[in-house]
Amino acid sequence: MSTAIDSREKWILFGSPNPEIIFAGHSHTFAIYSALNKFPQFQNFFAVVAQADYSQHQVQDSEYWEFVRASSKKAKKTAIIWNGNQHNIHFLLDSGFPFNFFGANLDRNFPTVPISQIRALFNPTFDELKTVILQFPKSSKILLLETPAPKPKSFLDARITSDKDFLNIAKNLGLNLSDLKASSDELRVALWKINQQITAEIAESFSYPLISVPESSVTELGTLREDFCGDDLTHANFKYGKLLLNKCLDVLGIKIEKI
Amino acid sequence: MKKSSNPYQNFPDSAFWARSVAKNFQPVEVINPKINFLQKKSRVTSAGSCFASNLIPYIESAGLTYIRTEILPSVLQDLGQNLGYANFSANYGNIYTARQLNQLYQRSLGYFRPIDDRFREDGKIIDLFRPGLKFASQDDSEFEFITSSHLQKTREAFESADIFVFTLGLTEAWVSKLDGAVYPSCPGTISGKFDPNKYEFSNFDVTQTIADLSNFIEILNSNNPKIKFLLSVSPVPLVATATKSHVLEATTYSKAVLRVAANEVTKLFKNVFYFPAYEIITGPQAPDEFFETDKRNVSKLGVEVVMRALLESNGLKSPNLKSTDVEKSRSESIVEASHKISYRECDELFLDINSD
Repeated sequence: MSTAIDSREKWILFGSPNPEIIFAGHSHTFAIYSALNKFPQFQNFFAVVAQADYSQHQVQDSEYWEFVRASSKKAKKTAIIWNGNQHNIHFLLDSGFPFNFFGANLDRNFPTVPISQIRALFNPTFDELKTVILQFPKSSKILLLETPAPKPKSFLDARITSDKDFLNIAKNLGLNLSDLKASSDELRVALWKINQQITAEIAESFSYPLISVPESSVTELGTLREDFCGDDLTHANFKYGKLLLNKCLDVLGIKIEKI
Repeated sequence: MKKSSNPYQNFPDSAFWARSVAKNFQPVEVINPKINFLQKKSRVTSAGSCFASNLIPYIESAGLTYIRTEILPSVLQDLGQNLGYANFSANYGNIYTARQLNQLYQRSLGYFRPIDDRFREDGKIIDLFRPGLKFASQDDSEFEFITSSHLQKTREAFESADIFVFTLGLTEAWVSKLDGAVYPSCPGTISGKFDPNKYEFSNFDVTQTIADLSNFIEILNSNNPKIKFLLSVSPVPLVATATKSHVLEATTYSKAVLRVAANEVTKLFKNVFYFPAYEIITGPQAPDEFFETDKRNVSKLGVEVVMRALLESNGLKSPNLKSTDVEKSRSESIVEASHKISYRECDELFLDINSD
């Protein structure tokens, strides 16, 4: 199966030329790309919008979404994986100013904020999602996907302090190694849930299906199981991608031997 | 005329208007010499009206610890907050009357649970005691969760202080007819809806103000025996009066009540002191420049003079205002590190497509 089905200057469609689902979105699509790469059988059903040249990072700008819309005409459905790092961008590391919010199951001695304040922080990124969706033809069949759960603190702390680049980041900001500690699992899971809730609300407002994260990818605490963690601080790996694609096959009602 | 001896002969210059006000006025000399307990390690909590919040940067710049129990990570603080709720030691916002202060502390102790504490509007729950909060709760459960936490943090701020500074602002207030709960503003002005069946006007007198202050001080003394209190009267006039009087007359009445009450309370408690910010700003010796052009808000110059007098009387320097919040800078750097790490991962991820 050819891997470069279609090509433009920056983006390609990797996978089936006439897929059941095209996956598009931000960096969490990488787990799907990895799974398609590792398990070519998935390429019978799925495709993902990928970079034509991985030596340079490309931004999912208007050109990207134009390519996605054009590619979507070849597919039955388009699945969008949107951002998924809002909880990490601001709260990956413990800032020393803990806080709590309703339903977060955090220390009751922490100062509290209304959930509306956290949503105000996250909402701008989701406003962009709505704009992207509205640019698709009304006849488009779109799915929204939840993004992978946050990684366990133990996994993160081991990697943060052993990565030279991270240490340089800290040094340039005048921080010590001891400042670089991941925030609690409970906080990041609770914040991640708010992100997923906002995604679910958008899906409902557009009457789109929402595909939740595979249950077996998540620990009892709500973090991503280490088996499914990519070798960085924020992304899932090909095994997660495989779980997700198998779930998509179930959602589509496609009965095949599980890959 | 033969001069006979009398007590005035031995009084210091500060007892004579001609010598210490008409000329040679020095604000520091108005400060009670017993207010000599402010130190760099002093932990200060404060409450009051807008004038009170103006004093906080000077307290911090002088090296004292201003207690703040509801500090958030910078990314959440940067979303902003209304009406100065984030200014004081906990997010209670402006406290205008002695009764409001007393009730706040009573609520934090669980002694007083106002019946009418919230208002439902546009799918949000508005806190009637903090009606201008920028971010509201979405349902009763969240509201109670947040309120409970806030009151706990308020209690922590009050009971961990070495020094409690309270600036008395008003005597006029709007209260609940159900249980006398005092609201910071007339319901319906910032949020909520005014209902004459539920709310009524009250103008606290000297007796009531003394009683409320005394009650507050007694209870806080019992829970925090080391605490000292600095009382002052805000020189800022009323925005408006709900009495039938002219606002100038109503203001004079209010400030007189508060001034007398503050004085009487200092006689009742050994650890309560009066700090004459009101006199320094509004006395006839004060230049017009101590007020802004609206003749209501105290100018930066006025605040500086008041705080310089207080700090210098305690042997503390009154440096230029600057940010002394090292912890906040460190926190902001950590958040920036989170940003850089997260964005870097998005960049790098696609450089190694064979990483799995």
